[in-house]
Amino acid sequence: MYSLQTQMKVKTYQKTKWFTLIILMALSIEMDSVFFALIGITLGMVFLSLLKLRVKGVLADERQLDVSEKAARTSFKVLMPVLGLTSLALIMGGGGPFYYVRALGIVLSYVTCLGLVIYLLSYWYFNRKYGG
Amino acid sequence: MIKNRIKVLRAEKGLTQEELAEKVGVTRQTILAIEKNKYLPSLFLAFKIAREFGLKVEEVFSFKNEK
Repeated sequence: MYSLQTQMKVKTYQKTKWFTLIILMALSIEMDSVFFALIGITLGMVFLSLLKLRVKGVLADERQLDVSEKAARTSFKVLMPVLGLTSLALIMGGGGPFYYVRALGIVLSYVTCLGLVIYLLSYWYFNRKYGG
Repeated sequence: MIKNRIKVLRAEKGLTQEELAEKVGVTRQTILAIEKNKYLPSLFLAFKIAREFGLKVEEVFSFKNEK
């Protein structure tokens, strides 16, 4: 029987994490009830958090944090212009019988603005934190 | 450019990458990346690595001015 006192290796944790996430996704898609899907997801998250406490070894070190920061920055740099230009194109191209296209463009433009606001707030926070 | 002697020092001490990584609190991949000069460690990590070998930071890492 699996003991809560037993420690697991990082690779075992990662395999278990991905397996759990796939099962959760499959269950949420299969379940007709949003309520039960949410319960399943919550239980899955609790399970993974408890599992994390049992991991022997380093899960994420400074290099991995650096890599994920760079990946996030690149994603933001690509996504924001794409979202902005797409929303502009949809707003200009929509209208008339294609009113839904314009509506989608407006929604995307608000999403773009939200992304920029979050970026500005994060920048302000970290600038203050690191002596700016 | 910053170079390091971690591979040599590890061999002298008989440490594997895994063992050194465990001692300084990082993953083996990070130690590998540092040895290959693909990743520049933070000052904190550099000090921890140097302390593990019982040396000063400048005895483990060296700075070469690229011109």
